[in-house]
Amino acid sequence: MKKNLILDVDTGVDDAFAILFAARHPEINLLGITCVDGNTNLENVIANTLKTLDAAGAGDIPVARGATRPLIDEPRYAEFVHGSDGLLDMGIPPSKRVLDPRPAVELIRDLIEGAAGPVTLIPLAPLTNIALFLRAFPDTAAKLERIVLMGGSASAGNATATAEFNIWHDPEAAAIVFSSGIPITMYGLDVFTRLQLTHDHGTELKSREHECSQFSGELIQRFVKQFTALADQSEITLGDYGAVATAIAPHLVTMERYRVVVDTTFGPNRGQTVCDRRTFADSAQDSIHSNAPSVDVVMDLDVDAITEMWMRTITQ
Amino acid sequence: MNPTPIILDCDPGHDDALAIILAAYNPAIDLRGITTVSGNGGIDKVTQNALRVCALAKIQVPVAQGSGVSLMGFADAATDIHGASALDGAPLPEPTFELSKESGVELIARLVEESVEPITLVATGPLTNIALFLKLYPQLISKIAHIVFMGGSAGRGNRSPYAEFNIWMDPEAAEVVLHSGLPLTMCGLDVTHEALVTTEVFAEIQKLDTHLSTTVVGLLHFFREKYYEVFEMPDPPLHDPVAIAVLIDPTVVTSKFVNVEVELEGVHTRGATVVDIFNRTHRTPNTTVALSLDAPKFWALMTDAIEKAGLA
Repeated sequence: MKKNLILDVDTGVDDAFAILFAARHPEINLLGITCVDGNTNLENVIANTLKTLDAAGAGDIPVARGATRPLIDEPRYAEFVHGSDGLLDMGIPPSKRVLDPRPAVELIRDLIEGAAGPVTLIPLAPLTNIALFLRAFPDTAAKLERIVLMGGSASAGNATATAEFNIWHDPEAAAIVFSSGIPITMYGLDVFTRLQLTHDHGTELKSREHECSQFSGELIQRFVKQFTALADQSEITLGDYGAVATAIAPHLVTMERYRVVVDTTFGPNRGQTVCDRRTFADSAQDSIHSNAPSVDVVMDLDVDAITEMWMRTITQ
Repeated sequence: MNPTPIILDCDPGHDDALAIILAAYNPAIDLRGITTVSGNGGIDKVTQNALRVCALAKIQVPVAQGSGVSLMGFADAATDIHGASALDGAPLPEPTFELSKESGVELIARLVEESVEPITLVATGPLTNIALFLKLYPQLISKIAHIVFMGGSAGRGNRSPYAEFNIWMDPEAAEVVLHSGLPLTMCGLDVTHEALVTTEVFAEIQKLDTHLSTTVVGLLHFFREKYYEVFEMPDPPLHDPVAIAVLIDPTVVTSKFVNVEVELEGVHTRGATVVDIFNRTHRTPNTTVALSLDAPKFWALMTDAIEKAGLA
C-alpha cells in the first residue's frame, strides 16, 4: 500500500530534493504540501515549491500558504546558503500552478480527514504551521500516524553552537510539536550531512533527457559551487530528503529513543533539542526530562542505499 | 453613530457573564459572536456557561468553542474564585441553542470575513484564540479594527504576585497580540480593581427586581465571598465588563499609550506585563493602557444593561 504523506516545506535547495523524490516515488501518495517561512521568506518558498513540482512532473498536488513568520521570534533566513530567492537563483520562470485557497493548517486538516488510511506528516522546515495545526485542530491531529521531521540534533547545532536551524527559527512551535504526544521521528544533524553528492552526480543527471534530471543536476552543481565558495567543501547534502526516506524506508536507518526537551528559554541554548542520552538518570532529580515524551532519533543510516534510492527515483 | 461590531472571546466566569450581558444590551455595541477559551474553568465548562448566560439573558448569537489549552499546551482553572462550574452562585437555565460546529478561531475568521466593516475583538480570557486567529488568518488582520483585552497590570498581579491571571495563563499568546501591530487597548487590574461591586451596587441591581437581576445578585454574592477569602477584598472587582465599557464610552477610563511587553521567562514573574509608563526603555508604544476608571459612569452602563436584559 502506498504511504500517505503531507510535506511541510521552506523550499530551499534540500527541500526541493525531498519534494522531487516524494512527488515521483511509486510508493508515496503525496497528498499535499504546505509552505512556511524558514530558509527564505514565504513568497519565495511558495514560488520555489511550485517550480519544483513542475520539474518533478507532478500532477495536481495541493500547495497551501502557511505562516509568514515564527510564533514569537523575528524571522531569520538562511539565504546565504540557499541564494537570494531560496533556490540558488536558477532563473526559472514562475510556475503556472495555482495555490490552494485554504490556509496551510486547514489544508492539513482536510487532507487528514479525507485520506483513506493513516497519514504521516513530514515537516522539513520550522514547525510553525504544525504547531498551529495541533492547537487549532487537536482532534484531527490525534489521527496522525506519525510526524517525521527534519530538525534538531542530539549532538551539536548549526544555527548556533547547540541549536539546529529549523528548531532555532521557531523554538516555541518546536516545543509544542515535541510535547504533543504524537509519535515523532527526529531526523536531525546527527545524520543530516551524511547523504552526500558531488559535482559528478550533477553531471550524471544532466546527461539525461527529462526535465527532473536536468533540474536536479543543475541544482546539485549550483549547490556544490555555493558550498565550495562558502566552506571550501565540494560535497553537498541531500539534507531534508533523508526525512522522507526515513518515513518510507525506516529499515534503512538506525534510531535511538531519547526523551527530548526543546529549550525555549532565551539563553545561549535557545532552540536546542536537549536529548537525554544518559544510560542512567535519577528521574526524581530531573522532572524536566522524566516528563518529556520519547522521540525516535535517527543516529545512523545506510548512506549508499538511501542515496541510490534518490538517484533511482529522480531518473526513473 | 453606528454600533461597534465586536466578537467577544471569553471564559465565563462571573465577570465574563456580565461582559456578555453588557455587550448584548448596550446599543453602542453590535455583538456578532462569542468564542470561548479555557481560563476561569475548563473549556467544556466555560462553553456551557456561555450558552447558559445566553439563555438567561435571551441572547441569540453564534457561540463557538475555542482552545482548551494555552499555546504552549498549559491548562489550569480559577476554581478558587469562580467555583467548580466556573460560574457558581445561582442556578442558570439550560442552553436554548446549539453550539456552533465551527471551532472558535474558525468562527472568528468567518465573522470577520463576512463583515463589511472592520471588527473589534474583545478578549476577556487568556489570549489563546486571538493569537491563533492572528497566526492562522494573517490575510484577515487588515479587517480587525481594534483589540481590547482584559488582562495584565501596570502594577501587581493576582494569579502570581506580578502576573494577572489571563496573561499568566498564556504569556506566549499575549506576546503575539502585543506584537500584532494592531490598535490595542489593555484593561488591566489598574482599572478593573476600581470596578468594585460595592454594597451600593448590589442594592442598585437588587432594586431592578427581575429574574435576571436576582440571578446576577446570586452570582455576584458568590464572587464576593471568594474574593474576600482569597484577596481579603470586601468588594469584588468586576473585571471583564470594563473591556466592553471602554468601547461604549472611552471616557469611562483615562489611559496612556505606552509600550507593553510580557515576561515570557522570569523565574518568579512569567506572565507579568511590563508596562513602560514613563518610556524608560524607549521601546515603541504599542498599547493604550487604561489606568483609572470613572466608576459611577461604568456602573451606570452596567446596571442599565442588566435592567434591559431583565426586561427582554
